Amino acid sequence: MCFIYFVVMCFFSIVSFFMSLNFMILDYELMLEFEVMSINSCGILMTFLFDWISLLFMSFVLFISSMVILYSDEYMLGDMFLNRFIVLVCLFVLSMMLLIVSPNLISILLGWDGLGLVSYCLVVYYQNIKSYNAGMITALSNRVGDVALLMSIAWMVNYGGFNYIYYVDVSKMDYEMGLISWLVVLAAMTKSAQIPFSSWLPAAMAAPTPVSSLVHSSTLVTAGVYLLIRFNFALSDNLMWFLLFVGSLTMFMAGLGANYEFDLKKIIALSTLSQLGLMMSILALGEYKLAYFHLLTHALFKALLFMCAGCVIHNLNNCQDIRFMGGLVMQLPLTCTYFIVSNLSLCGLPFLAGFYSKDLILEVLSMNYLNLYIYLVFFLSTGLTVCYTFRLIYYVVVGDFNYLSINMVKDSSFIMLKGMMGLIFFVIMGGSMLVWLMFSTPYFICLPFMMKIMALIVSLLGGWVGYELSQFSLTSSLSSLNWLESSVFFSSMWNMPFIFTFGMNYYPLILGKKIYMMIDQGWSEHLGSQNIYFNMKNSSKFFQIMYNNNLKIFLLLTFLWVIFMFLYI
Amino acid sequence: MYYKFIFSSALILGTLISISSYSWFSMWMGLEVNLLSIIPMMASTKNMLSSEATLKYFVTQTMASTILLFTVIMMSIQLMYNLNMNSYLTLILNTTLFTKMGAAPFHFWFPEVMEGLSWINSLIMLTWQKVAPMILSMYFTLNLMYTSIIIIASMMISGIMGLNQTSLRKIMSYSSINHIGWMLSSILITETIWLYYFTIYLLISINITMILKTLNIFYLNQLFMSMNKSPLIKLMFTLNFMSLGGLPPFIGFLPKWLLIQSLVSKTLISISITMTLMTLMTLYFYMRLTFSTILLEMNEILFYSHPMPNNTFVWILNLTTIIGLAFSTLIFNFM
Repeated sequence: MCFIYFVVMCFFSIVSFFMSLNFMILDYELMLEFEVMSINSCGILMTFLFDWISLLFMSFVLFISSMVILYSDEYMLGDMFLNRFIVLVCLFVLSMMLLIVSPNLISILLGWDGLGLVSYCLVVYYQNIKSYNAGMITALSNRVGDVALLMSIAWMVNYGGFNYIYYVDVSKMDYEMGLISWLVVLAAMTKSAQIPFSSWLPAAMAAPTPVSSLVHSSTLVTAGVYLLIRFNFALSDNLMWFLLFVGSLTMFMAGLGANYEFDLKKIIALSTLSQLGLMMSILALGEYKLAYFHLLTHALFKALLFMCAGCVIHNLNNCQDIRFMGGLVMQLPLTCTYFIVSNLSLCGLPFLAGFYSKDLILEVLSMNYLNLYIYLVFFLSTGLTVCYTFRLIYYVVVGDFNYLSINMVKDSSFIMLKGMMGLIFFVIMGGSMLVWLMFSTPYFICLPFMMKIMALIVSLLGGWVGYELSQFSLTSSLSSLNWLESSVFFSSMWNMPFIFTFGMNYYPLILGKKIYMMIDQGWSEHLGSQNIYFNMKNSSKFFQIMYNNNLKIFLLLTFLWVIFMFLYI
Repeated sequence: MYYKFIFSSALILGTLISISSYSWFSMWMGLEVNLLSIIPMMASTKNMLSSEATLKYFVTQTMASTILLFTVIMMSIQLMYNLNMNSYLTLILNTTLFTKMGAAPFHFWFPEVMEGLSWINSLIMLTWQKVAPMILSMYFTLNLMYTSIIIIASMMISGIMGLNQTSLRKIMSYSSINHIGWMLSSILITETIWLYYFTIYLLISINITMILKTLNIFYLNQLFMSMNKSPLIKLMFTLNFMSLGGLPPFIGFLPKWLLIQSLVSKTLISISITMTLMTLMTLYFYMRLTFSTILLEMNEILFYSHPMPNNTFVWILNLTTIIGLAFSTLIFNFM
């Protein structure tokens, strides 16, 4: 089953890749539209938009998912519900396709809700409490975005149609379009896990690793970014600033938080979050093509990174704690090679995939006329990326072997390796390929020398700091424990769970408890059923006394009543 | 045992004489025949309480009949002077008939008498013995105020007192007082509805008492395991009680529905609301009664001597009372 889906997806990926090349060269767009019905001169349409952006994204999604399906054949080996898993992944791909090709808010909502539902099903795939909690966080966070999208659909009625693609650039100054764009940005923020809603992404790591690889790193979470790429022209200046602020904060905080995490998958999830923040913030600077470029390259190397992590976890018998790893390069040479390559690509080592997009983003940013805060946050985050990457490499790949003495760690899972092998080519070559394809006119970059090598400096600095701070041996004390309180603060993304989860829940929960105690179990019982029962019981007890008397009294009373009536009425 | 045939036919005859008589005197006579023929049927040598019950019933009914006769004589004297029927004499007449049927403030004999009877006698007491007083009370004008007080009192007393009983015969007698309240209100306005009400009440009472008689159940605690042999009987029993309480999908709802409709159309809204609310209390103890039967644990006893009621007659009656509401419109076509 896995193989069939692998072949089918791979085929369609290649087809859509070449179609996108064709469309790109001809600068051609194809729009299929059929009308479902029309209410009050407001047409409900099903629209498919095929241009090079959607086709390229489709080809990448299909390619990664074909590799992931091939990979999960071995990763999920022996699982009772493997077929369900594959079907879920395929449903995910299907709704992702629907999302990618539709320039229509209603048909987007189909794909959007499909993504939410399928990702919930995939997160709770391992049926335990942790998964249920994670799935619930995921579903509810995404629900906020669904609601925002529904509300924007309602506002779109003003335009007599839901094909936003016609309206985004012409109606930028409209009041309604302003509202719609705020709502769409809210939806994109939930789907792409930007700051107030970012707690679901690390939690969603409860899903099986192939799912994390496909869904929660490369495709699903980029759906928000993709929607904003489509919506780019409608965003007002204020909204752009807001988005820039949120995106850069997400990037910085997630990068910082990744430095304190010990769960292998969560580190990569936080790194994903950081990269999503990068995409969002460069999108907010108006460079939607760069955001799209980074989206694609990031999808490639992050999928591979997750697959390597899954391979490590698989070999270490489902141990995810990086403190138990170390020295794996001796046991898993090929996996570790892939791991390091994709990690370095994430850091932006020259001529790997990530280099082209990240370096371009940073240089375009440096060219822009922006304030110091944005500049600092961007470069610090770049440094932090290298920092946590080197920390990860230090913990996982090199050093002492820290796992149990009884182990079976070796690179013998060939199907998984094949799946990763399919991606490694694109992780290395994808960036240069895409930059040649997408930017037919190169960006003009002219920077002073220091600013030009600033990215290199912060990367080297970050690498050094990451290596130094994560010294992990018997003789040195763990540096994150030296500043425990700040570690706790930063690792929880600056108290975000306390503010946005407990903070939101605390008072409603207290209020619910109070109402339950006061009304449900208090006054409504006292004034309602219990009191009625009490009164009826007491009056029943009281009237029972009358039945203790004998019949004589009853007869006498009847007589008296009759006599009374004779005499007085 | 042959005397029972004689007395039962005399019982029916008495009621029929009473309700089809042209004069007050023969009406009284019919009541007396009815009373005197039920007394030997009630007395049983096997039951210690039955003689007490018989005596109580006899004394009460005789007293009521005496006052009735007395009132009738008074009335015939008064009629020579004026023809005002709506005087205090009407109230006294009403009182005697209410005493005979056991409506609320005059009901004290009713549970006491019921406690000493077998189920067949209880059935007669619950249903047939009410025919004569009720139809007689149709023959002269009921005082609206007085009857309303009686109705509300019947409702309240039956609801409140029924909560505290463990004897099924007493529960049935309080339920009967409740239904007397409903039937009195139908006598007050539309006499056709009384017929429907009484017929349906009769059917449901026959069902319940037949089941209880066959299984020899007299008290609440006997209900727990008594019907585990046959879940269908259990279900029928439960649904019959719901029908008796007047829950909508069953036929017990039909006469109440008609009655509430006509009461509201005659702007007797407050009394219909009161009756509906007070019936909830009776519904509560019906439910409590059936919950112990149907919801508590299911144990089957191997050596269980009582035969389950299982003949066509029982099933037809049960089906009538349970799904009859659906067919009631069909029946109305032929009426």
